[in-house]
Amino acid sequence: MMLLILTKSPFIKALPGPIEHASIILTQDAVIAATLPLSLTDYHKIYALADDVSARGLTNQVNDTIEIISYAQFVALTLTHQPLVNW
Amino acid sequence: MKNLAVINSSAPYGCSNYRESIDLLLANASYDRPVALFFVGDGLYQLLNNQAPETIEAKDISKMFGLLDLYDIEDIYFCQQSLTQRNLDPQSLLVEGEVLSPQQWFAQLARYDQVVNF
Repeated sequence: MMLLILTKSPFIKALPGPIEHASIILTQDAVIAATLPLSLTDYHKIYALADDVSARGLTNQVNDTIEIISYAQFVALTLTHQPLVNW
Repeated sequence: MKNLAVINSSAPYGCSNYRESIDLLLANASYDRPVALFFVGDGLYQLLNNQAPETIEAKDISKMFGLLDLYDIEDIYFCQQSLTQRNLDPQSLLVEGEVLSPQQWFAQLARYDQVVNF
């Protein structure tokens, strides 16, 4: 399965898709998207990087459909997905 | 002396704008120059409580905003539309500011001689 790696605020760069057969990971300023209404049906899974979420004080606002993951889990995802796409 | 408005329009911590804007603001205020701080768009995310930037080794912006009082910077303005789009409550932000409609916000901005947007 394809993994899209997002780094920019959704207000600066629109989210890709919807793409049912891809997962996305929110990193850097893209974690802002985790606080907005997102439909899980738009993607296979939505992940957000824990350190980037907590750095920005967004932990309490994160949408239920999103799985918060560590750097180690991020690395694991890059090994189980193909292709990896920087978005 | 010409007055100065600083606009924060970018999110922390993806780029260094959040640091440069507060440095410029405080440097000018320290010379008793009349300054104001405007927030719009993703810039409002700089004012969230419970930020923990040490997890990504960034500078803690919330401590810098604590200095606004010390420098007597009281003219702070928020864009209502940006707050609504982001589901942010102005009461829960790190500093108090006046919430203005986009039109009022730009009308207020127009009162300044010089404007720098970060």
